[in-house]
Amino acid sequence: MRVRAKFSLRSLNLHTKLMLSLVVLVAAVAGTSASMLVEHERNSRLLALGDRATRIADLFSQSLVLPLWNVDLRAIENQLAALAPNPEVAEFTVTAAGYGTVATVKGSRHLNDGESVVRVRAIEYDPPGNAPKEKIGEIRVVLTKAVAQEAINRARQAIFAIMAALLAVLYAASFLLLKRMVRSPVNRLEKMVDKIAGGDLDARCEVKSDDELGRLAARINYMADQLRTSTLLLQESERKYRSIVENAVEGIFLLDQAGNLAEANPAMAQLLGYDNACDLTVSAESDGRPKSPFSLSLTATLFKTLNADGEIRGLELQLSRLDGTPIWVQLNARGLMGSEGSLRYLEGLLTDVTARKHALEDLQLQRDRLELEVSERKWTELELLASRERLQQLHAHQEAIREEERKCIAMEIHDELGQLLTALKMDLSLLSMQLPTGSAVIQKAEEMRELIEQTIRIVRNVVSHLRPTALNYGLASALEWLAADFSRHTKIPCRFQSTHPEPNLPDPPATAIFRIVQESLTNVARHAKASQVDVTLANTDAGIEVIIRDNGQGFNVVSARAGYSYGLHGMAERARLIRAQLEVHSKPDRGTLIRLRLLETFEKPQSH
Amino acid sequence: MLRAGAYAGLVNMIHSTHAFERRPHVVFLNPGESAERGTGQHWQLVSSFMGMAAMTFNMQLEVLYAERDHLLMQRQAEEVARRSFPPDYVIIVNEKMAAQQMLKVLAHSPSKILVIHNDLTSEQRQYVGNEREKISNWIGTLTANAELGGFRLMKFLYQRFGRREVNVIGITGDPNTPVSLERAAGVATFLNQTANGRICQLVFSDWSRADSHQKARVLLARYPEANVMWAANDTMALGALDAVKLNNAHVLVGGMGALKEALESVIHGGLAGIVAGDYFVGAWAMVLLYDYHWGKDFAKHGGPRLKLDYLGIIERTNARRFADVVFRRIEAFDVRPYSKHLNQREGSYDFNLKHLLKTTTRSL
Repeated sequence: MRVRAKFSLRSLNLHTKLMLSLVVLVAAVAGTSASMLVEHERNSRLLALGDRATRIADLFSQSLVLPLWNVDLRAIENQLAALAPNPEVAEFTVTAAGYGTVATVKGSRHLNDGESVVRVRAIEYDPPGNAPKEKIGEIRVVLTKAVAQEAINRARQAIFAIMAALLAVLYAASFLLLKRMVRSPVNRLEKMVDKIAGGDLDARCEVKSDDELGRLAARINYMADQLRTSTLLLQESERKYRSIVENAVEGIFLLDQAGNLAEANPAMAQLLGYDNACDLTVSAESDGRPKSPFSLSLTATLFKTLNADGEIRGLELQLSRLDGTPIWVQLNARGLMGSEGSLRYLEGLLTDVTARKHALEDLQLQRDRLELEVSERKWTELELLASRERLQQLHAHQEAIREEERKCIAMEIHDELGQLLTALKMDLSLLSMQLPTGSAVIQKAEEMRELIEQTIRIVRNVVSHLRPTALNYGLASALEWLAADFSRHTKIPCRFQSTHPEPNLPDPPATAIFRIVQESLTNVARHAKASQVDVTLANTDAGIEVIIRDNGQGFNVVSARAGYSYGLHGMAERARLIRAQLEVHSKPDRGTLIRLRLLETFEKPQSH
Repeated sequence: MLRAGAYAGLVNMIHSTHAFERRPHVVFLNPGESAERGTGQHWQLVSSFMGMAAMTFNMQLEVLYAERDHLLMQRQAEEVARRSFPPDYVIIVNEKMAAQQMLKVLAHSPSKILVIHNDLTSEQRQYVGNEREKISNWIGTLTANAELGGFRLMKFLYQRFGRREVNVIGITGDPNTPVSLERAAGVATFLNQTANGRICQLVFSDWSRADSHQKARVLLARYPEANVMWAANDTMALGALDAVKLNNAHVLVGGMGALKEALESVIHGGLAGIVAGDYFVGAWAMVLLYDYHWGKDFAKHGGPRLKLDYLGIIERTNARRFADVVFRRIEAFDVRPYSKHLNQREGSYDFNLKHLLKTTTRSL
């Protein structure tokens, strides 16, 4: 029975279910409300009855004072009789104190037990003056509940009748409203959905309301629009992708686990030497002959790989065309799952890489050849580097020899030529002292002495240029002399500053540093247009540092190095020879700073 | 009732016998019942003694009973006033304060009006004036001194009780009838003069025996200490006596008015005493009208408003004799000694019952 009820309930349509729910709901609410109303009515009527009884008793207790006091039974009975016709009155009884009943009036109704409301009030006479009230009797009011009960019954019937009528009207109105607002729209929606399901994507449902069903209809219409658009897009997409597949250069195929091709595009057929794709799939499916390009073992291997890795990427295979020609192909594939969740097809993309394979082989030959050439070149470079090293050593050696020769020449000139010139000067002075004063010879002698002086200065300059004498007294002295000489010749103030103890350097690095500073100052004099030059020598624990700074016009270091600036190259070469770090910082109009940092500590050989 | 009919027939006979004579025509608007219906025979007796007096004085008496319905009495007065041949005299009673309206109705009538038994109250007199003033044909008022009657009754009961402490329950008539108040006032006057007399309660009744009986029962229950009870008429006194008997109470009961049953009760030791003489008021009115008609204006003997002392106590000792006079030998009732036209006597009218008793005794 329960199953049948469940089935029958489920088989009801929405309208009937809604109506059923409404009926149950309204019946429950109406029933409850009616019961509450009846109960409320009952309580209020019984309360009102009690109130009336109380009021009547109170009223009689007041109004009967004088009649009872005067024992005016007619007046008492008249008063009681005045209210006796009230159908609720069961009995009025007036008793006199010490006497008993003096008047009683009974109603027309038979009074059952428990159906009465009884109120008893004392009748008290208030005598004039200050005498206390005197109880002269009692009024007993008995009202029957029967009338109230009848009224309650009538009210109950009326309430239930009204509720039933309301329920019926509500049911009818709801039936019609639901039919109009729910059933009809749902039917229209069903028909429309059926049409769409039947392929009529142009079917639309008329939206007649703004409620949920109206919005549902609008959304279904929108869904139909979207479905139509999607279908068109799908068709377009299918056409496009079919075209892509059909026109693809790569072979696209679908391979089952038996090694049969389920799908293949023309490129696949062409790749494998078939006339069209159908031959490839039909032959594989119907003939039963082993014409499939994928052997069973290969198919098993491919599916195994797919199961393991989830995809096949860039796998190169050698297949046979229909005419038996071997071809190299590259396979990219992924698995297609069946509805049961197991791997069913291999969806692959096959690219003919035979030509590429051949090209690769050629490329490998070329690479081997190239590698051979490269190794030869490397060997040559090593040779070149060794040659360059030797060249640099030779250059250093030559530089050393040149410096030594300069030194020797300078010493020779200074020692020999200088002494000779000094002796000649002394001889001329002695000779002049012997010549008559004011003679022409004296004049000539004077001119000769000046020539000798000039020659001596020239010799000194030559010697200084060949090798400054000051260098023999240390780097600091040499640089100080160089700065002073620069200032003297160029008229540009050059300030030399040695902040630390004078470094004790061997002659080659000291000479190299001197030459670098000399070349720097020469460049300042020639190009910088500076008004101030500072030369700083610092000897710290970190090493020896020489800085040449000017406030001239500066220059572009990169372009200067790229050009034929032999001065900079010479400075760099000298620095390299003494394993020093040379930095040139300059920008146009920002001056130039040349920093030479000698990292290696040289120990000056002790002079004997 | 038979007796009333006999009197009426007698009146008619007198009328036919002296048809040729000019007889004064008197109409009495009797507020009581033409037949006894529980309120006693008082008004019937009044008519009877009036009839006897009319016969004695050769006057035409016409009695119209209002059956205790003052509205009917009013209509009867209007009817009399509209008559083509109006009576010479109309006797009315201020029962339930109806006299004021009746006087207004009858004021335009040529009939002379005499008010008896219940006087107009002072409030009523403020509207209608006094006798022979605004209403000129209102020639006089005759009432018994009811207050004196009440005084005498209570004095008698007090003395009968042995002058011990008395707790009195009073049952008087309706409050709208002045005589009921006057009687109660007499009782109160006496008790006020008495140190050991106290009024438990005075109630108003409708003059009926049944109502008095019921009231007496309730009051006896309410005041167990009560030992004296009086009623404003004998019917009510008999009702109260019934209640006393029913309760087996030791209470003396006295009444006013000496109806036959009351007299018998007094004779048999029921009622302790009664004040008698009320129902002679009609006869005394006929005496006044006879004298007035024949030129002896009663106003010259006490004024137009006569309040006369003719009420006496009837107790066990004189009750039987009084009953004989009133009920057995009514034909012997002779009012001629009271007429000033027939007896050249100066001074005010004296309707003392002892003259009547003497007269009747002589005639017996």
